[in-house]
This record gives sequence, structure tokens and C-alpha cells, in this order.
Amino acid sequence: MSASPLTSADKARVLRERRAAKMALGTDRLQKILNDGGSLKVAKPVIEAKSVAEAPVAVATGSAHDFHDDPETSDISGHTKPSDTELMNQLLGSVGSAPASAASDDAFLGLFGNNPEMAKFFSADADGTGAGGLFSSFMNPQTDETPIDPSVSEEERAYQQQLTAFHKYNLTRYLCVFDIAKTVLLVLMFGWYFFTTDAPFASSHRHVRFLTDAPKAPQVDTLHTFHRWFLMFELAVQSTLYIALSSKFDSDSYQSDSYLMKGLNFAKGLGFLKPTLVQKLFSVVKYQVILKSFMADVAVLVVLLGLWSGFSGL
Amino acid sequence: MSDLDFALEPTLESVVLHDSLKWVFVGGKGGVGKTTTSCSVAIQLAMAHPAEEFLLISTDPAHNLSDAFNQKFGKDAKKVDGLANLSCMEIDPESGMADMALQAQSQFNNDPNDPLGGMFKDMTGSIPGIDEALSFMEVLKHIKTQTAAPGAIADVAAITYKTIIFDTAPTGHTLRFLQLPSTLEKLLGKVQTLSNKFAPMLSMLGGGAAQQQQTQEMLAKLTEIQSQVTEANNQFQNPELTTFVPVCIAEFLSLYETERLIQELISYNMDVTSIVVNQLLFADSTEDECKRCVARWAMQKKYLSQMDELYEDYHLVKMPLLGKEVRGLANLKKFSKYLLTPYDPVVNGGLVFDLEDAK
Repeated sequence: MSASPLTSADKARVLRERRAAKMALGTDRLQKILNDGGSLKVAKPVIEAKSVAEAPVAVATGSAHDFHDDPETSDISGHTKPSDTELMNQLLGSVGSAPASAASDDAFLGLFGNNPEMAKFFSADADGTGAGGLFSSFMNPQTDETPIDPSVSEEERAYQQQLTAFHKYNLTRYLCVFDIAKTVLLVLMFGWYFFTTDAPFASSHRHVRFLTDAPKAPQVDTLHTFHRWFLMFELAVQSTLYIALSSKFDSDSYQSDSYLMKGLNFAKGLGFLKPTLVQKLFSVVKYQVILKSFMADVAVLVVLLGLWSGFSGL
Repeated sequence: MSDLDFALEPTLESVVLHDSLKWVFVGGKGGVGKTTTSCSVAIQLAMAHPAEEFLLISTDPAHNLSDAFNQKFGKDAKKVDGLANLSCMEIDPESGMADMALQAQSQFNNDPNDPLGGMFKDMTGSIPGIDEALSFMEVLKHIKTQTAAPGAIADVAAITYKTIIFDTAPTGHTLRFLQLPSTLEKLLGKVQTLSNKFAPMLSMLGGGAAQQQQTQEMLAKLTEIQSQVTEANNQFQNPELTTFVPVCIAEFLSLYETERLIQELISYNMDVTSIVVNQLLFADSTEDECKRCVARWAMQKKYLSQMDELYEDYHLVKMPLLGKEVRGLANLKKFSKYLLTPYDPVVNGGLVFDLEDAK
């Protein structure tokens, strides 16, 4: 007994599903055309494989599928057509939640005349939960710099964030210990020099020393001598710090947190600064840890000198 | 033969006689006969529904509609001479941008000598995708007309067209145009989100009540555009409202590009039910004395048989290469007849030399 004849709407629906199922073969069909045409090219997929797999029809899977065969039949009785919202989300990616698909990112690229900086500016989700980008770092300056990869699961992302926090903690602890050790050495050096020197604040010029109570010997150790000691000390310490940081830590982990770097990136993205100038500034800014350490030592020295001058009654 | 073995007629009846279609796109590689086919589809639609109005829009920057109909068309819809219910329009990016610049100028700065106005026109006229953007703006205008309540449209000349046919640009441009609704929808969504975030800050920065009102009006306008873009997107993805008719020729490159085009259209959830294969020679060796035509027809037959396999679920319409250019309404009517009735070279072979000379 034959089933009741299909209505035109049913026929149209069945035909659409067949077409979508066959088109899901995608690259295979293109390669067949190329082979039959005697072309040496290799077919490239028109769309990402995942967006084809997301098409709401039964897709022929598994072994090679010959065009001459009918498409594999599938039980569509329980199949529900996705809602408009689901279709839209498949096409676009939701605003504010699921990450954008490659197709829509390319569309952004095309929309902005293939200017990747502008496309990146807008392709980042304003809430910062989508693919990372300049705009998301602007909207959420406190969040982690690492761009979020849409293919990574939530657990993986949480793990990555914890790992990054752990690395940062390690770095902070290392720098703290280093700073304490360095400061102690600086204080000891200062103390040794000033307690063993007869006139630590004497002038280095003999004729000036004759006018004061300072020793009259031709050569005496003065503040000028201490400065030389200090600079040599700093050279040794900062070089050690730089080598230690480079060997123990990834440069991004102790540079990327910097607001200066973020600001330079943002200015570059908006076109306020030329990329070549920004690159030059980056090459300077990447030494900021060393610079900060040196400035801290100078500050300690200034404090020590001030304390000495105060207590020694100069 | 089971109910699932459909015999698909090699005609465009499913498009022409479809009651609910609002948007018909005709596209393909350059030089395959898109304009001829789109004009033919428009003519058949107009003849099949004489009480309805139809509009044919060219989105190809290198417009050909005027040459196809031997009649000058411009950026405003103009009726085709001899066919009262069909209008044509060729979107001109330069004048479109000039209109926009004028509108912006009148709203924000009434100085006609404003140097920025000229700079704006120069800059925006060369932005990649500007043709597609302007075509899409035309789409939005018609959506607004269709969805507005009767009498709500201020422009009394606005006509509601039953179907709008697009003679599209070669494939790359068209795909970019079709991406626009999704792209714009996402962009406008983000702009809305940002404006909601920044609105309190902007109002704090001051600017007075007039400035705030202007901002509010701008945001309201954006919301309106966003809803129209969403509507356009929904309509383009509804197979009852929109279809795309790829046009190709029976050659390797055209077949390959058509396959890529259809795959990409399906990824956009755009309906494709019919394909037109144009410029076929139908030169059988027994009847044709032209050796070149016979050889070429043999090559075309090879690709035709491939297309029959690949596109067995599509209406594959086979159109002949004629002896003269298909230009002018009379020639287009003769040619377009075979979109609804399969062309038989034996019975209808007289058409090849039956066309009037292009004037």
C-alpha cells in the first residue's frame, strides 16, 4: 500500500534536505569536478568543516561517497527543524556569549576593506567574553591579556587562567626575594663604605679639602668613589636580574601586565602611533623591570644618604 | 517509482509561478549571461502576474540593464517601455553617497561650502564594498515600505513590489553583499551594547539637552536600522521568500565556480532550487555543418552530463546561444519564454536567427 502522496511543501522540504546533504560533501564534490576537468589543483573547502557539520540535516558520514549513489537515507521522522534563533546563532555566533565563527570574522574583514586592525577592533566581543582583541582589552583593562580562543572549553580556559595566575605569583615572589636581597646588599655596601671611610663626604678636589677639616692626603675616598662602586654594583645586579628573568620566565609574563604596553597597543590599534614607532617603544619598554629595579635602588640610596647626613650632623 | 523520486522540470516555473517569493537573486561568474537571465526572469514574472509590480535592480557596478532593454535607467526606479508593471533601477554609488553627504550636511552643518563634505564624498566613494552597501540600503528601504502600515510612508510615490529581482555583480561582490545582513546585524548589536555602556558616561560629560536629544535620536535610528537588517536577514534565509538562481555555462571553470557559489550560499542558509546553463550550442553533427560548433558542443555535453549528476535535485534550465545579442524587450521576451518551456533545438531551432537586430 503506497503512502499518501507528498504535498508540494513536503517535496520542497525533502529536496532542500537532499541538496544540503549533498552539498555537505563540500570539498569532495569540488575535487571531483577538478579531477574530471583534468585540473592539477587541490580543492579548498568553501566553508569551515564545522559550519557544514552544523547544518540541520543528516550528513553522509564515514566512508567515501560516490556521486553515482543515492545519498544515505536517514530517519528524519524525529528530526526537528532548528528555530530561527538557532539558525541565526549558527550563522552569526551570539552577541555576548558564543564566540564568532570564522565566516563572520571574514565578513568583518571584508566589511572594513580587508583592514585587519579595524576588523579586529570590532570583532572582539564588547563584554570581553568572545574572541580577544583590542576592543575587549579597552573595555576590560583589568582582565587577562591572553586572547580567548573560541575553540577552548570553559574548563581549559579556567585552567589556563589559574596557570597564568600561578606564573604571575611565582614571578612576583621571585622579584620580591631578589629585591630584598639586593636592598640588603646595598645597605651593607653603604654601611661598609661609610663606616670605613674617614671622610665620606669630602670633596674629590684637594684644594677644596684644604679649606675644610677633611684629610689633606693627595688621594682620599670620597662620594665620587662611592658612586663608582654603586654603578658597578647596579650593573652586576641588574644584569643578573635580566639573565635570571629571561631564563626562568617567559618575557610576556613579566611585560604583558604593564599598562604602558596595553596603552601602546591600544594607541597603535586606533592609529594614533605608527607601528614602527610603537615597535621601537616596545623594545625600550620591555626593559622596564630592570629600569624599575634600578630606580628603586637609587631611591634607597637617596634615603640612606639623607639618613646618614641627618644622624652624622653634617 | 517511489514518492521520493521527483522528476524536476528543467524550467524556472518554480520561481516564476511561486506566489510568495519577494527576493530573487540572479548571479554567477562574469560573462555567463546574468543580465540576460535576470531580465528574462523579471519579464516572465511581470507577464505571469500582470496585476502586480516588479522591480529589477542591478547591483553590478558595471551596469548593463540599460543596454539590455535599450532604455536608459538610473538610480530611481523607472518603468520599462512596453511592460507597465516592470521597473528597473541601476544603483549608482557616487550619487548615492552624494545624497547621503547632502543629508548629513543638512542635518549637522548647513554650510554648502564645507570642505569636509567634498572630502567625505571622495573618501566614501572608493571604500571597498560601497556598491554592495548601497544596494543593501535599497533593500532596507523596500523592507521598510513592505512592513510599514498603510499610509505610514511619507513618500507617496513608494511602491510595494511583489518581487524584487537582483541582477548581481560577479560572484565575489555578490557573496560580500549577501554577507552584509549578518555582518551589519552583528555590528549594530555591538554598537547598541557599547552605547548602553557609554550612555551614562556621555551624559555625564554634558553637551546639553540638545546634544543628548541628538544622541537619543541617533540611537533610535540605529535601533530602527537594526530591526530592518534583522528582518532582511530573516527574509533572505526564508526559502519561501528568497531564492538565488545561479547562471553558468557548460565549461570547467564556470562549473567549478558555480559549485563553490552554491556551497557558500547554502552556508548562508540561502535557498537555491534552480540553475540556468546558458550559451549552449545544441550543435549535433548530423544537422550542423559548423565543425567548430560541433566540437564545442561535444565539450559542452561532457560538462552538461556532469551537471546532470551533480545537480539532479535542482531545476537545471538549459538555454541556447543565439545568433544575435539578446537586447531589447522584444528579443528578451522571445528568449525568456524558454525559461518556462524547455528549449528543444529541433522544434525551437528557428529562434537562433529569429531575433531582431539590436538598435
